[in-house]
Amino acid sequence: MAIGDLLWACPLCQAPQSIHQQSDGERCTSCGARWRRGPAGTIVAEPSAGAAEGAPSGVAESAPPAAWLDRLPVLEPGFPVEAAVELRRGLAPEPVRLRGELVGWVERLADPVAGTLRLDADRLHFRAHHGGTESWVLEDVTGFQISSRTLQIKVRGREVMALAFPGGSARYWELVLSAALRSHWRACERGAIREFQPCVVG
Amino acid sequence: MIVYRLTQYTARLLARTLLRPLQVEGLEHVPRSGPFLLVANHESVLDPVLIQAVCPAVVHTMTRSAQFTAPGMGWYMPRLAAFPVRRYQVDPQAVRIALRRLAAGRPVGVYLEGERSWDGRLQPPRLGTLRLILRAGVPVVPVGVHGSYEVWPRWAGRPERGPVRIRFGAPIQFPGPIRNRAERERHVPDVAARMSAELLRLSDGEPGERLQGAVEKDL
Repeated sequence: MAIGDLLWACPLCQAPQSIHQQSDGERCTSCGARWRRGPAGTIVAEPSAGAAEGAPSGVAESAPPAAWLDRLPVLEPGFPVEAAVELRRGLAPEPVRLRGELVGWVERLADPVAGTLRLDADRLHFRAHHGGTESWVLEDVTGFQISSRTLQIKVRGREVMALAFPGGSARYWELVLSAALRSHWRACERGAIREFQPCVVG
Repeated sequence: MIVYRLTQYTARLLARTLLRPLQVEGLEHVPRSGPFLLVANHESVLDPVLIQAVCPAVVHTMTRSAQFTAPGMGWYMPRLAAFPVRRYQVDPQAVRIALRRLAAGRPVGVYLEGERSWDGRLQPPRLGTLRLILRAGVPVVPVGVHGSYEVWPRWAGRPERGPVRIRFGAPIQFPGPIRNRAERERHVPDVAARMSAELLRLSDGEPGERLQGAVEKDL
């Protein structure tokens, strides 16, 4: 896990999905600012000389994560939104037992398949690099949530899918997908969404 | 039980080393017997370990199913009295297990928000947790964790030393057990408001400041 998993855009230059791990720590690939953990759960930004607008060059700024999140840009992606992904499909749930007593079920995931994910106004498409395309209408998305590095989506009648975004941000995709779903629900006159997890509830 | 107590002992030792200091308040509010729901805020991966380390009762914690899939964890987690809840869909089996354990007189632990906070602010309560509170009808012991986010936030790869305070609140008796779904839904907003306020108070949050609202953004 990393600061780039929390901040889906650089709060200094507003570039989306730009904070990535480099050899010397996490940096914004757009403005060059270095991001690191400060004391007591704060995050410190060290702007690159003369690159960050609105921040004095080279002067480090420390703030709690919530304050940095408040400085992120308003998400306004246009369709389609696309990203390279690694898709892992859920296998059949397995029982967990303690001394013969069933205590619940767990999901396991299959090996990853690399491909491209594209979000249109009404559906998601996945194109595997080795061939094969699938698409899922937003109407059938019954739940999704983010773990620290992946976005997991449940589509009606299908197994759970976990999507990792190499070079991208799962949180960014969580926001994009939730916005798309809200918009789609309204267009279908299904009303507002109250909750996305564990399932989409209106 | 041996595995649980050994883990509890080890966790206490580690907590004393890592957390400076670890403060625990309100243990007198934890019932010595009988079923109850322990409902906490969730700031860090450390929370379940710390709560189980300091709570005198053996808490049966609803835990995300992914925790059971690592090698050996399928054996270990049930012995920590944890039971899995599947994500991305309603898991009636997990609710049944929770109710069964409460019916057997055991305490069950859940997190109001359903998952760890990304930014340290209390998130809106999960509907499933609120419905479970009303369905179970047992006393609810609220637990406020403060400081674990600063020690090990969700976005950080490792913990750092720091103070943590765990505060147990007085048990709250909500209406219930309510089996009728429509009636349960009527009480959900009250339970949500009361529990959020209680966890904010116990975790030192400011009402209206730390509660992270659901922000709706359009494409």
